[in-house]
Amino acid sequence: MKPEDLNLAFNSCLEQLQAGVPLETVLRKYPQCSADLRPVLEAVMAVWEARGSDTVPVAAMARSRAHLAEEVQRRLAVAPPINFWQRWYRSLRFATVPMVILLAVIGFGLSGLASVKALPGEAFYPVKLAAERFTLSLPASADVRLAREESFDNKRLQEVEALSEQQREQEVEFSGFLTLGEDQVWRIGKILLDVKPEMRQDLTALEEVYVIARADLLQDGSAVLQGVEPRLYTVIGQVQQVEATRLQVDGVWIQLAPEAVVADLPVVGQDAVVSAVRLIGDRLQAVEIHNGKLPAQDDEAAATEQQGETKPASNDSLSPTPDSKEGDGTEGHSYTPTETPSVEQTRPPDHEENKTPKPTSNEEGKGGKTPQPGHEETPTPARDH
Amino acid sequence: MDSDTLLARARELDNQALAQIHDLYYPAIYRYVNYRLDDPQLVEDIAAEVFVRLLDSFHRRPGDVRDVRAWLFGTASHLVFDTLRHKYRRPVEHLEDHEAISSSDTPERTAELNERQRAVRYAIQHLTADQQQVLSLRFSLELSLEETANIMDKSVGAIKTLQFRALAALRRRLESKEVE
Repeated sequence: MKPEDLNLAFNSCLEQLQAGVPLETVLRKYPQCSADLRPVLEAVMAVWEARGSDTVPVAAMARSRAHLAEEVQRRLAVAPPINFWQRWYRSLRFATVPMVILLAVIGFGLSGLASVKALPGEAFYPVKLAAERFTLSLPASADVRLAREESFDNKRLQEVEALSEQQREQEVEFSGFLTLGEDQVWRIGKILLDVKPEMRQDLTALEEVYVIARADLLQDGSAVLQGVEPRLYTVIGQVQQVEATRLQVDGVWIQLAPEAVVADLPVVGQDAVVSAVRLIGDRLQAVEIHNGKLPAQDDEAAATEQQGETKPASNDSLSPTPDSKEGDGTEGHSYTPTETPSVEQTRPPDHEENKTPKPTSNEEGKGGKTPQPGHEETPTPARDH
Repeated sequence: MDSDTLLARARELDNQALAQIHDLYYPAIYRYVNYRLDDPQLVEDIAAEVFVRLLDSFHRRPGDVRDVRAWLFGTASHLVFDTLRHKYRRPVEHLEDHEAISSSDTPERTAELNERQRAVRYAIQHLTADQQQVLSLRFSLELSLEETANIMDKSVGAIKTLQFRALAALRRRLESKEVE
């Protein structure tokens, strides 16, 4: 017999016994399991028999009640009555920790969601930029870093387009290749630039170069250019090959323009620090080349930056960017964009002679000259990895 | 006053609500303790202590008590076990306890009944804690399966199995005692 069936039979027998049916009569109804049920039912009857009197002494109950009342009074005398705020605090206390965690999660989630679509000038936009800076600070290979940079640059362009569509006035900064269309309108990506006459010469020097631009968006959707500068990339590593018009550093081919500032052309096997601009077609063109160790003053500059001071990169002394110093997973071989001071409207006295865009220093003023179409004769560098 | 309101007021140490809870549950608690212990004075003390503990719980951790009845039986069960444990360490036999004389029975019959009661109680005290509790609740207080399951914080199916095993164990122990 299954235990379930035996349990059912037991419960049925129990009800009959409680109703006063004799045990033998009850068991006769379950002949197949009477052998199992008999000892158990006899035990039940023994328990009932041993139960004794159900009478509860009234005096004992009264004493217990009086004792309870005394204990209540004693506790109330020790502790003042709980007021509304204490009750509120007690109920809150149990829920405080999960509530704080929940609110924090919701808060972070909402601010994160809000920041994703935030545009310049909006409250959550700094959160968005901070998240991007955090992403860039994560260890990654040079290729991944560059891809992330480009992704964020594209977002900046989309933000400017969105602001322009919404006809909002806002100061913006964005990056991209500077091009001159057949309609003689300067563009960065799809953004049409409103250029002041005195800046046109500078833009010509930077045509087809990857630049950082600052502009004022007006309600009519136009972007009035305030400043533009080439984005510099620093390549640090061992020189692998040197040819007449290019060299390979850390697997990256870099064009050697005649205008490049070359302190001492490195030979194969030497360490080199190359500052380069990026041209359309993913080519890099050297602006400055240093071989061997970095100049001593750059250590000072790096130290200054680590102390939180801002110091523009110097023209005659290249230094790795703070990013590369912090470690990007390449262990001393980096390929990172470098922030440079703006070319803007002020140019060094010798800018006509200098045909290569290059970083400027405070001492030399600002300015640089992009190589003109002739530079396309330079063999296209290709990355080995 | 419904049970939720009663409980809420009792948590605030309202005298009337506490007295109402006491009068409602004292008889059942007394019978439960009385069924498992031989000493009437001890039974009275433990039954009273159960309600003082309830007061303490309301005072210190008001959220702990959600089902007053289950809480009272659980506490009574713990107190009984503590007492029995203490008693086993220092066993004292009080054979004269609980010898209620019924006027309708002969002295021989009464003596036989008392002997039988003592044997069953003694056998029950040698069962496991859960088995003792399920026998007390189901066959002394005659609570339903659902009520017993609620008090013991088990499923109804588990209570069915437990009570069956408890009775079988009790029967075996009584038989072995008879053989002795």
